[in-house]
Amino acid sequence: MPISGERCADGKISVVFNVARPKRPWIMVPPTRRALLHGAAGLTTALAGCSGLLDGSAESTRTVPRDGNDGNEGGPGSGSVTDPETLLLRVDTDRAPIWLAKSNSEAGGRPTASERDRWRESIVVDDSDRADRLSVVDTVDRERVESFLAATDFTAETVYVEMGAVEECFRLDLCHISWTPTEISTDYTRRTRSYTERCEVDEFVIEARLIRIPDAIEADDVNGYSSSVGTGACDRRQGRAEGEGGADPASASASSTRMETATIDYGGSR
Amino acid sequence: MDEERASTREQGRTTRRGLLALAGTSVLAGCNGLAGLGGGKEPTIRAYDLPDIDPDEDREPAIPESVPVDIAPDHFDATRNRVTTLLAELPTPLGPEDIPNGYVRQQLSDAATDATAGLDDARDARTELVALESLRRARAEARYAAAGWAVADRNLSVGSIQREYRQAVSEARSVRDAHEYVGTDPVRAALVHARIEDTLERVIDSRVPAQDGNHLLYIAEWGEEAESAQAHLDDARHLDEQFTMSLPADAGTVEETLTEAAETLLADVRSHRSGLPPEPTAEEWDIPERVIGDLRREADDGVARIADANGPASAVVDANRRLTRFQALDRLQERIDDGELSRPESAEAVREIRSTAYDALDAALEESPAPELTRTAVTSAAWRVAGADWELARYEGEFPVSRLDSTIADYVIATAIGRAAPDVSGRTVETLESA
Repeated sequence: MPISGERCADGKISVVFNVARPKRPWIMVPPTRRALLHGAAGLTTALAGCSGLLDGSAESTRTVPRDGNDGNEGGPGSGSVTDPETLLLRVDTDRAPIWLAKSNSEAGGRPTASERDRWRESIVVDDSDRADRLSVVDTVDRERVESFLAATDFTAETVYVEMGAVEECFRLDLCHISWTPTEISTDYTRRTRSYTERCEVDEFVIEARLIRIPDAIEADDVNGYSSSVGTGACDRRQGRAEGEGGADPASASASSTRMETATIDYGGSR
Repeated sequence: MDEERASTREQGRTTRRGLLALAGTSVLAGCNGLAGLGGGKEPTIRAYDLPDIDPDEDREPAIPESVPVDIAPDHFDATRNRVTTLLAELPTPLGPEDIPNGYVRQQLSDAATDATAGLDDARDARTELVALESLRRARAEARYAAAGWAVADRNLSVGSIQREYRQAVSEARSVRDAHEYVGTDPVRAALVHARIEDTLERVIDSRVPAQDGNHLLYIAEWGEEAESAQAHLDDARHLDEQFTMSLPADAGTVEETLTEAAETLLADVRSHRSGLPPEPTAEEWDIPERVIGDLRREADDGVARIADANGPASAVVDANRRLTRFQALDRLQERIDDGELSRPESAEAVREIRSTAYDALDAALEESPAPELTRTAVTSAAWRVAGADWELARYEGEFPVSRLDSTIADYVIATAIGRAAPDVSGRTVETLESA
C-alpha cells in the first residue's frame, strides 16, 4: 500500500499530502502502515508533536515582565511556568463540567453540549467572588475544587480553568502555561495511557484543569486564549504569549523539533 | 504495468469510476472547482476525461528496485518463518481482556496485520529485492506486536531488547570494517556493494525510540528497531555471501576501481552543482518553476565527497543518480527557454504527458548500456509517477487545469530523468571501466 489518503471536498489533495507522500521514497524511506495510521490519527485529532528528543524532566522557570518585576510581585505582568500547581479532573461528559454561574445564588448556566469536535473552554478566576460562582457537575468531587480555590491567594495568584475533549485512551500533560495581562496560553503533550487502563478508541472524555498562575491577572482584561498540543516529550522552552514580554529566549533550557503543532485559539468565559 | 498502461490508453470507455466522477460533477457542483469555472479565462478539465486510474489500487513504481544478485530461497524461508514465529506469540484475536487500552491494543493488532500483509506483498513482489524489503518490514512489524504483547504477558523489560539492538549495531560496524569489495565486473560490483553499504549503514545510523510515556509501546518500538537492525544485518550478509559465491574463486577486489570512479564522478557532480541555477523566485510557481525547483533539489541532494558517503560503491551509484538529474535539468531548461513547456489545456494532453512519462521510463532501461545501473537512477522517478497517478485518481468533477500543475510537473520530471538516464549511465560505465 505505497500511497493512500483522502480526498478534499474541493477536489484538491493537499490535506492528505503529508500522510500519503512519505511513502514516496525520494522523500524518505517508506514508513510502516501503522506509522501512517498513527500519523493520520495525529493529524485528524489535531494533536501534534514534539520529536521526543528531550527527557521530559520537569522544570520551572519564571520570566520577568517588561516592567522589571517578577510576575509574582508588583501586579500583573507576563510570565511562564512549566510546573504550575494543577488540579486535573477527567470527566465522562459531553459538555463543560465546570462553568461560571450567573450569580452566587444561581447555580444554573451550564453550557449545552458542544457540536464542535475539539472545543476548549476556559475560565479565569481572579477573586473569591468569582471562585464562589464556579459551578461543577455532580460527578466531579466538588470538595477538591473548593479546596484548590480556597488555597489560592487571589492577591498574588489566579486560577485558570481550562477544559477540552481528549480521546479516552490518552491524557494530556501540561508542559507550560504563559500569560500576559491580556492573553493566556497553554502547551500540552499527549500521552498514551497505560495499557492496563480500559478505554475505547474514538471515545472521548473531558479533561478539566484548574491551574494556579503565580500572578494576579484581571479576568476582565484577558481577551485571548490559545492552546497547543503536541506528542512526545514536553518542550520545556518557555512559551511566549503574544503582545507583551513573553519568555526571555535565553531562558530556553533546551530545544526540540516540532513535528506538527496545532494551536487552537478560542474564547473563554468571563 | 502493461495492464496499467493499457488502461491508460483506453479512452471513451465509461467505467464505474467515470460514472462516479460524472455523478460527482452534478452532485458536488456546489463545492467542486467552481472557483475556476465560468468567470475566469483559464480552461477547465473534467475528471471523467482524465486517465482512468483506480483510486483504491495500491500504487507501485513502474520500475521497481532490484539488485543483480540472486537471493537464496532458504533466506526468504528463514525470514518468513521468523515473521510467523513472532506472530504466533500473540493471542488471536487480541481482546480487551489481553490489552484493556483500546488504542494500545489497536497498535499491536495493526502491526500484526501489517506483518501478515508484508508476507503477502513479498509473495507478489516483482523483484527479489522488493520481496526482501517487504519481509524485512514484516519482521519489524511482527516484532513490534510480539514485544508489546510480551510486556503484558510476561512483563518483558526493555534491557534485553536494547542489548540485542546494540549487538546488531556492533556487528554491522564489524561487517562494514571488514567488508571486501570483491568483483569482476565493476558495474555489477558497484550495484551490489552499494546495497550492502546502504543496508549496513541503516543499522549503524538507526534511531532509537524516544520514551513518550507509554511503557508497553516504548518496548514495542524497541522491539521493532532491534528486529529491523538484525534483519538489515542478515540481509547485508546474505547479499555479500550470494554475490561472492557468484564470482569466480579468483575474483579480486575492485575497491580501488570503485574509489577512483567515485572520485571522478563526484568531481563531475561538484562541477555541475556549482553551475546549478538558483531556486525559482517567482511568487507563484507554474509548471516550469515547479519542474526546475523540484529537479534542482533532487540534483543538489547528495554527498560531495566519498568520505560523506556510505562507501565508494554507494558514492558511484548516487553520483550517477545526480548526474542524471543535472542532465535532465539542462534539457528541461532548454525546453522552457524554447517555450515548449506549457500547461496542458485538455484531458487528452494530460493523458499524453502521462503516457510519455511511462514510455520514457521503459525506454530508459531498454536503451541503456547498463540497465541495472540506470534502474537505480530512475526508480525514484517511477515513484514520482506513481505518486502523480495517485493524485490524478482523486480528482472529481470539473476544475481549472492549473490545479493539475504539480501532478503534471511530476510526469514531466520523470520523463526528463528517463530520457537522460541511458546516456549518463553510459558515461558512468566508461568511468568505471577506465578507472
